[in-house]
Amino acid sequence: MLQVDDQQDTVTIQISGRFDYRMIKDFQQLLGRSPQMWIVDLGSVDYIDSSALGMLLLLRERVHGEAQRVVLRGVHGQPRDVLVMAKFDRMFKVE
Amino acid sequence: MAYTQRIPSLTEHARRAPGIAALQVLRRIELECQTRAQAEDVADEIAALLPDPIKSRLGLVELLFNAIEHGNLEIGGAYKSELLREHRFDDEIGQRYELAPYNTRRVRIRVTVAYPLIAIEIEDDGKGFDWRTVVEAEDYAKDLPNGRGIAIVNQACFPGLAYNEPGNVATVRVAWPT
Repeated sequence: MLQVDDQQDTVTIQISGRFDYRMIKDFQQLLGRSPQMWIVDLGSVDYIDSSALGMLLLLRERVHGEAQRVVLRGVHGQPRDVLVMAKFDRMFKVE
Repeated sequence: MAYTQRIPSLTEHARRAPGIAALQVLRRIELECQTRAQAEDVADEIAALLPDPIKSRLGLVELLFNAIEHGNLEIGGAYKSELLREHRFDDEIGQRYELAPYNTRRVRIRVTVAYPLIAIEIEDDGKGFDWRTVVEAEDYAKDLPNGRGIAIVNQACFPGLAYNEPGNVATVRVAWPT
């Protein structure tokens, strides 16, 4: 499930359960926005796949690769393992 | 009187008799899928039999999706990037499920159990690919929105992932600790 909180310069995307290929459409719909900061809250996510990595990369394209403008929050467990292995901890601000 | 005997799902069996007990009565399992949703069901069934179901599920899903998207539906890596960027990827997949020649293609999954060893083969009806380059990729497709799945499988889920030539059958081997 995906919830969005759009406040001033920050868009927070809260995802729960599986962050995988089924979310591509919903996630991409959000990419039309252009806030200064994006926060992707993965605190309630227990599983991600390579499609999730792709979605995060598309989000990174939206901010022209500026790592400080996308925060991945609450990363733990399997999602952390996959993100670190794919070296996403170097491409995003991971909290 | 005709009747149908219900065969409990492997997952159900594994839940009642976790891991090893289920494996000792299984020798060979063959499953088939066409769509990504079916592939998820297949991955859940098989992952429940393996030592690390969470990692294994991801590995199986990635391999099965690769077989469906790139093998059977012939959506190449560059075209997938384009479709993802244009928000058309899911629609394209849905259309190709219905369209000849893709619509008759399936992915076959064969699991051979010789406890404590389990071999899993995933065969698609596509033309194969240059799997060595993809499996050994270290830069993870850089900034592309796709192209990481197979390298992740090899690195994190099933070390030693290999394909046949020309690359339409993936084989992974898993061993239960004894």
